Amino acid sequence: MKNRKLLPLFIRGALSLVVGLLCGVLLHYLVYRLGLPVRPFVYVAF
Amino acid sequence: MSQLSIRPILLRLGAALALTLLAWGLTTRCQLGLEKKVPVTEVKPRSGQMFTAFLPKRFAAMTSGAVFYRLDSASLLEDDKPLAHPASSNASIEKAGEGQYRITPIRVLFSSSDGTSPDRNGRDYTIVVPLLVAPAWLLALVWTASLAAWVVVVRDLECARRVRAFLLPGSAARDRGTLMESLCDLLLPYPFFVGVLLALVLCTIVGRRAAMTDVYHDRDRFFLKISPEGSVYPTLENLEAFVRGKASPDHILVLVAGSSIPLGVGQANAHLWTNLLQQELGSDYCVVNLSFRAALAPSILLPLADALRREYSRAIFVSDMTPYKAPGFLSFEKGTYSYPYDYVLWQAWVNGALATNPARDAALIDSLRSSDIAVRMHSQEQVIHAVLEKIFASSNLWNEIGYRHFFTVYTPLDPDKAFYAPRSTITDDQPPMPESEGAIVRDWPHEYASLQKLFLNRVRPNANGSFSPLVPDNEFSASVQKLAPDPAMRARILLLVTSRSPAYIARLDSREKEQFEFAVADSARAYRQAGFASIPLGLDYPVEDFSDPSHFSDAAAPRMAKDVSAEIRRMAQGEGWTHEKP
Repeated sequence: MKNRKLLPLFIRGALSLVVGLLCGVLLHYLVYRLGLPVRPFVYVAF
Repeated sequence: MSQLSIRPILLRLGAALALTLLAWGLTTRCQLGLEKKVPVTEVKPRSGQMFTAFLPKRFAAMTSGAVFYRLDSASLLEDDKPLAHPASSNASIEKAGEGQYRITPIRVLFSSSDGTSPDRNGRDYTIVVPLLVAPAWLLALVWTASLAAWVVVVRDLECARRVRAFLLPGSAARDRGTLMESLCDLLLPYPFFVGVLLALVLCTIVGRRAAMTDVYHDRDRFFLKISPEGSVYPTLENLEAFVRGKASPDHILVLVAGSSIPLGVGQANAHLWTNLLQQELGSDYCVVNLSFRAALAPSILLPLADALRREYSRAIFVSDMTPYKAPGFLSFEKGTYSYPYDYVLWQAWVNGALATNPARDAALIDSLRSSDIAVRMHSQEQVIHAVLEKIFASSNLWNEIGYRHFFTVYTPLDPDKAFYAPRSTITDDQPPMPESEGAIVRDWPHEYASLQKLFLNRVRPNANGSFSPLVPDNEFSASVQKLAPDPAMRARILLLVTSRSPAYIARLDSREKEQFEFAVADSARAYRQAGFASIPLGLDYPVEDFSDPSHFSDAAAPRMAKDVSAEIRRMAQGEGWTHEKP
C-alpha cells in the first residue's frame, strides 16, 4: 500500500465528496419512495 | 497472477448469471411468460365507443392481496396486440375510442383500435396480468445483488487488474487485489460521509422550503393526476400551503374537503361547483377545494381544521357524509382498495397539529397496538413515515420536483405524456360523462345494492307508514360527535348528505323512493341534532344534473353553489362574522 502511486489526494477527496453527495441525494429519495404504498390506489366509481 | 481454481469461478459465474436472470425476469416479466391471460367475453356496448365486459371473480383476487400482483400493470390485447392507451378516463374512451381502455378489478371498459364494435368485429380481446411485478425496492435489491455478484466474479480476473491500473496508476504491480479494494483506495471515507451528510442536510433544507411553498398554486382542486391515484401524496404541509396560497387570514375560509362528490368528479374544471360557490359568496369568503376521491372527513378535513384553526379564526369546513353513518378515524381496510388518506392524519398527529380529541387519540393508539397485524403494521409504518417526513421533508421536496421538474414514479395515466413529465404540464381535463340508458339498465343491480346498503337499510318503516332511522338519534349523535368533541367546532362544520341520480331513484318502487328521500333528508336533521350544520343536497335535481349514479354534472354546479352558499351564509351570520341576510 505504501509504495503505491495513487491519484492526487485533492482529486480523491473531491471525487469522494461528489460520490457522497450523490449517495445522500439517493438516500433522501429512498426515504420518499419508501413512504409510498406498494399497492397503488385505484378508485373506481361504479 | 494468483492461481485460481476453476470451480469457485464457475460457481460465482453461475450465481451471477442466475441473479442477473432473476433481476431481468422481474423487470421484464412478460417476456419470460410470467403472465396470466384472462379472456374478455360477453362484451356489451356501454356508450359512445366504450364497451365493457365483466371479469371473472378470480381476476379481482389475482389483482389484490398479494404483493406481487398489480392491477396497474395489467394490459389489454386485441388479437394479441396490446392496445395503446391504458388507464384512460371513461369519457375519453367513450368519445375518442382509439383503443383506450381502463381495467378495474371487476370489469374492463375499452374501445377497439379502429372504432369497430368489439362485440361484432370478430377479434379476440385478452387481459394480460403480469405475475411477479416486483416493487421498486425489490428490483433495486436484486439488481444490486446481481452487480455485486459480477464484482465478485471479476475481482480475481485480469479485467479487474486493468480497471485498477486505470484508476490507481501503479497498483497493477501488485499481485492481487480486488475491485472493492480499489474503490476503497480511491474514495476517502471522511469526504464521502461528509458528502452524504451534506446532501441529506441540503435536501432537507430545500424540502422544508418546499413545504412552505404553495406547490399546486395553479390548481383549483387535486384532480386525479395530483392525487394518490396518480402516485402523488400531497403532504399535510402541501395542503396547508394550498389553503394559505388562496386564502388570507382576513377571509372567511370555506374549506371543502370531502370525497369525489365535492371534488367535482363529473364536472369539468371550468364548471367546478366550488368556483361557482366562490362567485356566489363574494370576496369576503375564500373557497378552497381540498377534496380527494373516496376521502373521508376524519382523514383530511378534520386534521386540516385543527392545523389551521389558529391561523383562520373565521373558517367553515364542508364535507359530505352518507346517511346516519359516522366514519371511523382510521379507514385502513384489507382488500382490493387500500384507503390511502390516513397518512395526512398521522402526519398531523406526529406534528402535534391536532386539537385534543380523546376518542381520536385512543383510536390512533389502539391501531398501533391492534391485534390485527395488518392494521398494526400499517399504522406503525405510517408513524415511521410521518416521523421521517418531519425530519427529512422528503415528500415535500420530491412532490415539488415531481410537479415542477420531473415526476419520478412510474404511473402510466396519460397516454400522451411520458410518465416523467412534470405534473404541472398535465391539464385538469375531466369532461362530463353522460350516462346512457343501456348503462343504467346494466348497472342497476349494483346500484340497487349500493342504495340499499347506504340509504334504504339505514331506516325502517313504521306501522303508521312513516320511517325512522335504524340507529336511535342519541346513539348516532354520540358516535358522530366524537369526530369533533368541541361544540363550537361542530357548528362550523357543514355536512352535505348528497342524493343519487333520479335516473336510478326512478327505478325504485314508490315505497322505496319515499324511504330513500326520508333517509337523505332526515339524516341531515340527525347531523344537525348532533350539533353540525347539515343539508341534503340534490334531492330535487333533475337527471341531467348527474353525470353518473352519485356524481353531479356541470349542469348541477350553479344549483349546488346556490344551495350550499345559502347555508354557509347562514352559518357565518350565526357566528357573527357577517350581518348579511342569508
